[in-house]
Amino acid sequence: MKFSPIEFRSQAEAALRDDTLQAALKRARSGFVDKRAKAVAALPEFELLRAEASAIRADALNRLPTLLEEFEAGVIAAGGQVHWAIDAAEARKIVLDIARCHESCRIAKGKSMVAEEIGLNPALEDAGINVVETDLGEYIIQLAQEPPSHIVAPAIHKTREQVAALFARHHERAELLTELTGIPELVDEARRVLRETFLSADVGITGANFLVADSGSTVLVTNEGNGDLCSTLPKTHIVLAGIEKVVPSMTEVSTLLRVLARSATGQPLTTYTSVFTGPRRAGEDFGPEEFHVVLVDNGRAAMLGSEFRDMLRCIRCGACMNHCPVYGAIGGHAYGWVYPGPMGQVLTPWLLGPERAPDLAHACTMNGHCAQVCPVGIPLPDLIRAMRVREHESHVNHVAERWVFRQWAWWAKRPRLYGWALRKKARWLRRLARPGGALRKLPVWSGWFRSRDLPTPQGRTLRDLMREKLRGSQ
Amino acid sequence: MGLPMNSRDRIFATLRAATAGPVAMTHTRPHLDDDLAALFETRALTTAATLDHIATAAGLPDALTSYLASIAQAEAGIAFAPAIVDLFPGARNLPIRPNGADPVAEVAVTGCVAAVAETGSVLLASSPDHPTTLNFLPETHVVIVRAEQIVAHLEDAWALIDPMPRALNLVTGPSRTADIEQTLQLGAHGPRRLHLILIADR
Repeated sequence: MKFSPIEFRSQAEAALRDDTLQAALKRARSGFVDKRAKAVAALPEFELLRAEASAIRADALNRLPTLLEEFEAGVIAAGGQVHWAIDAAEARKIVLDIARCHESCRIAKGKSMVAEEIGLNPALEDAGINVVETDLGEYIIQLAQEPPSHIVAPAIHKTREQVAALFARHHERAELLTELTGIPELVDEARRVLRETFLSADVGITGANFLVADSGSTVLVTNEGNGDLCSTLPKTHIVLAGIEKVVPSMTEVSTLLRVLARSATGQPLTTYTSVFTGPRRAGEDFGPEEFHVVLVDNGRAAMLGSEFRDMLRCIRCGACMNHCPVYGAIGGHAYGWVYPGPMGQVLTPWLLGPERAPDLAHACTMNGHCAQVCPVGIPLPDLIRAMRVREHESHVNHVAERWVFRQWAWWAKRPRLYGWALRKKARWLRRLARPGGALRKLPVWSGWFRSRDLPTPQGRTLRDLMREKLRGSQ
Repeated sequence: MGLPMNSRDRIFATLRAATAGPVAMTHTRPHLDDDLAALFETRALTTAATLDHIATAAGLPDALTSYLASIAQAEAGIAFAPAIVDLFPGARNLPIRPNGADPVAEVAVTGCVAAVAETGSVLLASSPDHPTTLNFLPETHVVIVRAEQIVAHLEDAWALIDPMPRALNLVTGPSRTADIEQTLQLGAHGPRRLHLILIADR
């Protein structure tokens, strides 16, 4: 299944008609929202920690070059290697070059949003390299050949029956296709099959939740333990991370950990929080012999110098999408790329260019929930609004839309005329609709009315009402 | 004209043009009850770990034997971390896999460098005496915790670590996933069971 941000409108419409998806979204929505609310209520310091987490990320971004140099020196001192990728193509090439050093290379991969962003798996597969996703959700969507639909729970749109069918086909285990196959059996099946992957892989690839400057460590949080097996068993461990992920020390990591899992899944902490520093040490029989960190820019450095700078604070918890009514209605695939929901509405047009995602910034009701729950205080509605302005200025929005806004601007700049016209229009609209009812259609506006009704204006404008009120209070 | 810049130089040039001053900051640790051992126990149990108390290290072999019987793993292959194997003088009677990280051992027994009351976690550091594989490959992971190893906050646990080992694993409960229909299932890729044996004596 192929999705693209340019097809946002049609993908969103298809998602609204997909009953299976709607059931999954309903379950996910209540699950994530309730669990976060409970976790936050159980920690009286949460709002304070949230403010501190915001400051930690803002501060780290302010001195990113210094922290990155310190991190790089730390990795090298521990015996690891650091690679810098200015864009997705260079990042893919770096990983391919490392992987090609191994004969008949097999790769076990942990969940990494950056890997999705740079299109790593297709590049590896094109080069004849066997790459297996090991996070259960990622493994399911890899079998289904779909992109993730949520950054924390990539297969959130799949039902157990769909998963059973995928495993039955790909593992050649038709016996899984019975009603007796529950979720425990499916998890065991994946455990059994992926254990072989871990034990036979030459290279393990994982992402990183944080990079620690003062020790040159990478921090990875998982619940399954797959990231740890990827980083322990294969001879080579490659960590992929965006350049924005660095923080000064484990002290700052502590604060970020306290808000990350609570915001994501409502857990106080994920099951595994692992800190990797360099390759295996003298005397150790296990752990990778080579430790590589690939630091990916791909538009981030430029973002730091832009009005979208605060977006780089993001710690990828998914709270914004979990609390977004638009995401809740259409799910992640409709957004067409790696990053769905509010964070994606800023990242996707920035990383791909506004002309490849012209509709995303408009799929927002400006209700502000995302900013209220963001653990690092990203002003998402402001950034989405700024993205709309940027799109208007770069002329990617529709000609008709631009024309309408130009007309409206002409009237709005002439308040007396505007007030007069609005009164006329309100009266005219009221006459057009049935009393007490709503407008169902207007000529030219059929597109707008396809999914909405316009409540009939009651004949008096806000300006009239305000004028009367002010007169009354004098 | 200088030499053409490589990617690292180009990234740093762009980043340096966008640096700014430090942000004023405070650092808060959540308030915890004074009885850290009780708190550690409560929080560890909420992560679906199990926990057993013993008075002194001499009780370890018996505690392990009865735990393995309770999960019907009495005949299981056991891998002991070299760091703690001396604590099990009776271990000859247990089916030991002498290799510290046998991928088919059903049970691993290890120590830890700290236990965190705030989260109910144990902190494990890789070394020749404690291979990381023991923390992830077996079906059951038994961790021995001495009472004085319990610290209050995450920061207190990190402070015990210097220098950084190859891998530092903060483990909070057994492996789990909710990737199918948001339904929690223990034992995704790591151990299905995490059992803590808490030794009271100093």
